[in-house]
Amino acid sequence: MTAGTGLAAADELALREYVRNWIGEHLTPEFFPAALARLDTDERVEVRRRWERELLDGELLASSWPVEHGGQGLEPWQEVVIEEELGLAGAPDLINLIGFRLAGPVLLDVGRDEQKEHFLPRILSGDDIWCQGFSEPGAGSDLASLQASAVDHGDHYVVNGQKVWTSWAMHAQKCLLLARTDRDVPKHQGITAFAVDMDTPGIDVRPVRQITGESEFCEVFFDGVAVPRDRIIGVPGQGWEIARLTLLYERGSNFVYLAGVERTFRGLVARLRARPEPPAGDVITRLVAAQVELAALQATARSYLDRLTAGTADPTEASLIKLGWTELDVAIKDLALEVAGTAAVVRAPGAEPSAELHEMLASRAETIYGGTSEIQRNLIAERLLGLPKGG
Amino acid sequence: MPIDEDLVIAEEVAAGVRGLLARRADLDVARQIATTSEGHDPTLWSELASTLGVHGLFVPAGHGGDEAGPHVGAAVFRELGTVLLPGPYFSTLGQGVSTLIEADPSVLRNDVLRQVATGESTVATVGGGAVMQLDGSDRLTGSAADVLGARGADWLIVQASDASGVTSAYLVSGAEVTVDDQESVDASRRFGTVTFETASGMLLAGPGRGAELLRRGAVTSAHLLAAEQLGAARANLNAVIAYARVREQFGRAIGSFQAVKHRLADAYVQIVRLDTLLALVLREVQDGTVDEVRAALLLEQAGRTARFVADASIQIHGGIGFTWEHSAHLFLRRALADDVLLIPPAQRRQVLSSALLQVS
Repeated sequence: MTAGTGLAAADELALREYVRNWIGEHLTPEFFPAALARLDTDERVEVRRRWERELLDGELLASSWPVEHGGQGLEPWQEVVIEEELGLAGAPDLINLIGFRLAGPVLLDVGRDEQKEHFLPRILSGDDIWCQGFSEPGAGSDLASLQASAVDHGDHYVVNGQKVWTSWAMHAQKCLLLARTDRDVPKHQGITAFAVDMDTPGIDVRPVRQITGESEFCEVFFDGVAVPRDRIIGVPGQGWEIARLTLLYERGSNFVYLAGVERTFRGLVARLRARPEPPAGDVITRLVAAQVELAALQATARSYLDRLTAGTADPTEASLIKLGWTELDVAIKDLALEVAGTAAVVRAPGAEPSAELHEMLASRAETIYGGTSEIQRNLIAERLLGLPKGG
Repeated sequence: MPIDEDLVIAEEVAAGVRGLLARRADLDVARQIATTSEGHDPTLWSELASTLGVHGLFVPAGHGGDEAGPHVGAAVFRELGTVLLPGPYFSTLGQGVSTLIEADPSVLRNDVLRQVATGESTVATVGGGAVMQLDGSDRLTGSAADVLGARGADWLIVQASDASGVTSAYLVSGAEVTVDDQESVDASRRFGTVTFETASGMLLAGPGRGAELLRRGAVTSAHLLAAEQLGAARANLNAVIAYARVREQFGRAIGSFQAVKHRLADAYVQIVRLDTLLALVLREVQDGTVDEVRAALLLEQAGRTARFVADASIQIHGGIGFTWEHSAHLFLRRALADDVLLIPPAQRRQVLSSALLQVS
């Protein structure tokens, strides 16, 4: 398929075939999770940057961005198809996930023209990795109660406060920051979004060690950080709306993760089949339960994708998929660890943790980030079932 | 028929059935019907067959029917499930017709399909692997329990084996058998024990193909059972949501408490999964590609959904949900009865795990 209009004109089968062929040629062993796991953090970042470069060259990243901003102008469902195929093939996560999937789409939706012209090419070129300055120690699920402040000083704002769970902040050049600019209005209305340079004086990034032992997310401290007024995204007070938008984009990424769950499930089944002994009865019971859940969840995702194509999808329905894939992934990785046995939890001094252990531990984040399972259930109950909000 | 056209017809037919049920048999009336000795309202059966032409929708065009696609059939059963309508609907229009369609053509088989299309006849299937004995003159003898819709069935589909153990499938007149009613967990799903005593039968599937015919009948009617379960689960969820919005404790609607909300959200998740999985399987039925694995998968999701919603409804209704008077337990009873039809749970899991692991 040639550059330009080729992909946008592709139907689903042609697009899948193109992506699969492309993956066959470009997803080389250096990008496999096992290879990445052997690298130190800086090397891993470099390899992931290279992977993003490959995706961009193959027209498979930022593909739903408009052509005039360096994208392919693909329909949302076409982007989903690409993400599904990448997930099924076990492609690595993006290093600039926030830039490509959140900040870029936000700028396209509400950014001013000069902001689009400044920031978007720098995402595509790999010059700017973005991080997301949303959560705070006192504002997680209740994000709208965030306290980081940005005070108006005319041509600039001064930011003070603390952000947490900021993935890849130590490698980021830009931060999509939410801060409170008005304390005299209801909490949802006093928040403003900024694009902040991470090398501005007063920003202190401290990596946080995670359950897995790795440090991919950080605390970020803002102490008298000056942010030019023209770095406001949208208008003052529009921050909450922008936060809601990013959560929707984030849930769009569910397709790549759901495909990843299928890949994990197939891997477990293949390992069980390779064994001389049939699995124990309770393992079969759990495996069949996961099989049914996966098939039903994929049907739900398929239906959502069809309605996305037709333009009739309700964005809240993405909660059904986020809730579903995260809880299923946790269940499958629990089962995979159990099946792997003692060797997966006890190891020789200095040896790397088993893949099953690492994946099981890493999966604990899934039901927390991007809106916890509890928040997803609230959304489903309130927005789709019409149940009253809590007191 | 193209799927889009099928979907339009399905919606029209569903609206017709819904309208008739609203006038003639809502959940309460359906419950009354289930407690009669017949357990069934033959007048309503006739109205559905003649006024709305529902029965003909399941029968091929060459045999007196209108041969609507699987989407239309599913739409009908979704509506019947909404009120837990009792009667030989699934046994006849679901499993019975689906099995006859898969059977070898014969004058009698074709005529029974025509009788079903007009609402004259009902059919019951002796499933569960039961096999009668054939004597030297090809007459059937034996007995089988747990037959759905056995009482009053005009025709029975049954397997029988000859002296050398080779099994065929037969169509036997209801006049040639005796039926003893069983007690069912669900008054709207009646089961009976059928006894054959040197009964004559018409061959539906020749030597060695009896079990396969019954299996195909189960596979090609699973979408209709699942659709009925979906309709019931939706109605049940809507009822408990309505209750959670008005029932107050601690000065607020119980539906505003997260513990309640989350259980209802989970129930809805199951329903959406069943609905969307059913939509995929309907296309496979239409294409003729549905197989036992897909049928088992669908029934597994349907069974899980029915139970999840039924349990949530009873729990959230609280004490009133534990009473005989309230309708919450009717949905649990239906879920329990439905779960053992076509491909029972243990067999479903066997089918699914074999497909995954290739172990027999």
